[in-house]
Amino acid sequence: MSTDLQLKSSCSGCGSTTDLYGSNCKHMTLCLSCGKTMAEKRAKCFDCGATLTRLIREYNVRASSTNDKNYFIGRFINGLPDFSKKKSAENKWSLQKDGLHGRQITDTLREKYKNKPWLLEDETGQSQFQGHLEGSQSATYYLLMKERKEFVAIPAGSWYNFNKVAQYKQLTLEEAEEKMKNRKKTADGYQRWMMKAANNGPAAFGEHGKFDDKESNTGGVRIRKKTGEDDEGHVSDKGEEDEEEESERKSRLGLNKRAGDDDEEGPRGGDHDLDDDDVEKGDDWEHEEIFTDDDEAVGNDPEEREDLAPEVPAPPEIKQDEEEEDEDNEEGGGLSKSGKELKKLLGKASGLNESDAEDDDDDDDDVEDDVGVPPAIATKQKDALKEEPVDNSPSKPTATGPARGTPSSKSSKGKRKLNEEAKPSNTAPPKKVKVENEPKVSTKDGNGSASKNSAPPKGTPPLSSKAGSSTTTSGPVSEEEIRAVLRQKTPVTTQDLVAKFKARLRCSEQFSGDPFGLMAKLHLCFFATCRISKHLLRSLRESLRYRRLQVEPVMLS
Amino acid sequence: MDEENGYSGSSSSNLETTKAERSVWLMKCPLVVAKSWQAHPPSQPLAKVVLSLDPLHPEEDDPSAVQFTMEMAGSEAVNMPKTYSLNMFKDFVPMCVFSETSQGGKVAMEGKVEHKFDMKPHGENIEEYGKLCRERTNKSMIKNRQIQVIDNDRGVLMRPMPGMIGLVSSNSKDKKKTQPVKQSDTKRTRRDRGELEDIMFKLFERQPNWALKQLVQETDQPAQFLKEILNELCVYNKRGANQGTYELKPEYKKSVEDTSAE
Repeated sequence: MSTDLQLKSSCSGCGSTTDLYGSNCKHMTLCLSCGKTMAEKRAKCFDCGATLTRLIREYNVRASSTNDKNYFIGRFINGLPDFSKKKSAENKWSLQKDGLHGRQITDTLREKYKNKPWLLEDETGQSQFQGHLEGSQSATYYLLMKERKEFVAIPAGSWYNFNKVAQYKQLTLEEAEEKMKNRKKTADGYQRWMMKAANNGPAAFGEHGKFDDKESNTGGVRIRKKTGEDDEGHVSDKGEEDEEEESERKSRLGLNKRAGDDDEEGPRGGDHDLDDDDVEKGDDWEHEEIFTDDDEAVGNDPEEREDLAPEVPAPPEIKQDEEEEDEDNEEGGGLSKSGKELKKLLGKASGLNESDAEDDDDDDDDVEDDVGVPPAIATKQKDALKEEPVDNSPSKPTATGPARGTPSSKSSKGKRKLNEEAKPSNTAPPKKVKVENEPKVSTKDGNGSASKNSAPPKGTPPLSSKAGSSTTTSGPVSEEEIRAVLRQKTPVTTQDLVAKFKARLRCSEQFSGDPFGLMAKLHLCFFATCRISKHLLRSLRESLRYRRLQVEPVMLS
Repeated sequence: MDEENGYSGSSSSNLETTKAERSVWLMKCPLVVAKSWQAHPPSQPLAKVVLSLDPLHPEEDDPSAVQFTMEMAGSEAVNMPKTYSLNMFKDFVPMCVFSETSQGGKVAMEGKVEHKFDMKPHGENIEEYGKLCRERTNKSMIKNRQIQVIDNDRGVLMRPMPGMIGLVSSNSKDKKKTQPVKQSDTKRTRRDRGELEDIMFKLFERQPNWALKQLVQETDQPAQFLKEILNELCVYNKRGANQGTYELKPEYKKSVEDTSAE
């Protein structure tokens, strides 16, 4: 380093003490004006004789003694604000980190808010600045501050760009927009409240616009529900349904949604207030209505017929009238009334007719035998006549035993005797007359078969009849009685059942000649009253089918 | 200075503006100078600033009339240039200097930046500066990374660690565990028809009207299977208060009453 310049106290030329400079050779001390004149005259130094060209000063540079402070630079692109106190004595400035309003600053907080911007504010609030950290500066900067005759070199830290808070004004605009949105929300809430009130009151139906608004809202809700429910359904029934089944399920879910929506909205008049989509749903709904109506129609008929079966027994006068009507029907066509009442069992009736035809064939065989051996037939006829009174005798004590409804039962029995007496007289005429009366003969044979079936277990009937009489009262056959009988004997034949309850059935005269009709009646009773005994019904039906199968091979052979 | 700050710095957020009008020089410093200055003891001066004035030309006309040079003190660095010329910037963004104390968090205004300087080595010591640059270049040429040939190349290093195998297996186990749970959630197994019918009758005893979704939740059965049974046992209400719900058929209701009577 060159030797230090030491200025003298006064100018060597004029003797002034202000604006002193040294010569470039550092031997003279001159003021500014004297230096100028000497340079113009090209004067030389008194000591060394060098030509004077420049005036110089020297300052020492020292390191800063205060290490507590951290210096940083703030750049103000739009110009520096006025910080001096002289111009505005009362104005005060505050500089603080963003978010540290009124807090006591600690080391942890300082580290936490290290990268936060600075907020420079005026006391009046007219001018505000926000300083963001600038990261591009990588050079080393030193600050030279003048103190007396020396410079103090201080290293500069980070740089901050200070901008006015026009940004804040923009934020205020955003806040205003938010306020507007909030107002809209409150308005919607208010409208919703009004809509609900209107729905409750009578004025709801007068205001159409509000309905539209609410429907639109509810429509949105429905859309959401649809998506949610569809997803759930799809997930739950994954890989278990065909496309058609899926479509059915969706339509059903649609109906459920409709119900849900109705619940939410409350009771409404009908489909008048629905949108187009809802109208489409309604179309599907109506379609399903038709389908379900068909199901109901199919279901209602047997219910009605079943309801007829367990009716309360009519008084005796009405019973007599009904019995008379039954007699007329029998005289007229035979199965006409039963056919009407039992439309559903027409197939079974046709089966019965087939069986009757087969019986006719048997009768023909009997006729041939009569022609061949007349005395043997005569002996058989006598045997039959003998058997009939035997059958009559046990029925009488059963009637007298319980002592129930004796006049009606006696009258019914008398009618039976009359019928039986009439039929044998018909059999007496010659062969041609027999051929003409074949249907009657077939019915007679049916009765005979029934009586024969009942004949072998003669010993047991009185016991069973006594038990039945003790447990139940007079009237039509009930579920409990049938259950008791079924429980007593596990392998029970339908014919046995019919034989046991034959005397007590309503319209007994009507079905006396039709055992299959009686079984059909029992079927209806079971179907109407018994849920648990569905399996029994199935077994009965299967037995009927089995009989048909038995009969058919005979025809073929 | 410290005492003044102590007196006036009562509130943490207020900015001390007593030195706002002070002028400050901002000088961009080469790295070499900065390092030497950091290592310099504070007692001795760091450098000397020389202000040079040309008396023949007035300052207003020619800005280069006034020249600044800085002569470095100390001689630690062998090839560091001793003399630098300070180039003054004409136009720069207005700046000011703030200071923040590390203890109390007080902020102060230190002054305005009136002159901004850039340091450049002076012409006299150009040979030494050339040497310095050459040394710098040679240092940058040195490579830090080297390629080595592995002596032990028997394949031990190529195999994965046994711990990794365990981790992988554990991951696979976790994956396996999650799958069956999902499957159980999604699919529902069908119960026996009789059992399901009994359950349905109990539910209808509890409540006469049920929606399909409610029944699915209660019984945990697939909806299609439930529909089949519902069509057999129940009637679907299409209108009225119980719209969209299933109700037992009349005969089943009667049978229930009979059983209750018994």
